[in-house]
Amino acid sequence: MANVDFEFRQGRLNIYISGEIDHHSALTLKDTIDAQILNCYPKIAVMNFAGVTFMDSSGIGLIFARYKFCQNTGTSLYVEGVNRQTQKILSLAGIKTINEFTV
Amino acid sequence: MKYQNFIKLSFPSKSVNEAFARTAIAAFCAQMDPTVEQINDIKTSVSEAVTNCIVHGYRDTFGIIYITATIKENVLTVKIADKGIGIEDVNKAMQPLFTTDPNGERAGIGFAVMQSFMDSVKVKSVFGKGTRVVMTKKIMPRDQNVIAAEN
Repeated sequence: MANVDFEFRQGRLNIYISGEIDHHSALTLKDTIDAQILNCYPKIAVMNFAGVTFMDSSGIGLIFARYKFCQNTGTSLYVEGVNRQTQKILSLAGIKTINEFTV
Repeated sequence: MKYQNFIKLSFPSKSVNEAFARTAIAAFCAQMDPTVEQINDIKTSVSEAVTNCIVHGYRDTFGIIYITATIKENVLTVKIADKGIGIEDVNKAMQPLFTTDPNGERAGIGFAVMQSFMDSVKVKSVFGKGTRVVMTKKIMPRDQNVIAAEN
């Protein structure tokens, strides 16, 4: 199970994801995040993975697909708060920076 | 006499069972005294293989996913099988970024994750009949882990 909380301030949308990200939970996360982005059209969106306790490659799909989605809303997407295990998966997808990056 | 143990699981291809499957295998292999990182590698690989059964093998349909996990001495072997549509070209399917997902929500790196996190990954598939993934990981007793790290 995964949960997501939002914080919108001065054009920046913080997306705090917590729990386990897999194919099952990603389906709900995707809908909730997309709806929130459409709701506030942020200049910057930051996906924060600090509360994530498990992530498989569904998390990569989630990031890549949100990146494409954000191109349509003129939003720059960042990822932060990545722990060691999550970083292992991210580096497989060619994403190397730990704390912050643009996809 | 070598230490041996096994479990068998079968469950319907509902995505809610992905968490069950990886947690069950993690609980089973706990008797090998793995590190947290090794447990996570195994959980992630099981999650990838089970997700493949659901999103590819049994796409648009439901079927049963079969898992057998075996411990022989220091080696964990996990077999994950479905009786779904199978894979036409296994080599192509195993290439990074290859995906059959039409919605663009899948990264196509499931097999790459399994290959990177486990010691060996073998895929056998008969088109129209199903797919079987066999993964192994050696988990050395903790004192030997320390010795290996020091070397």
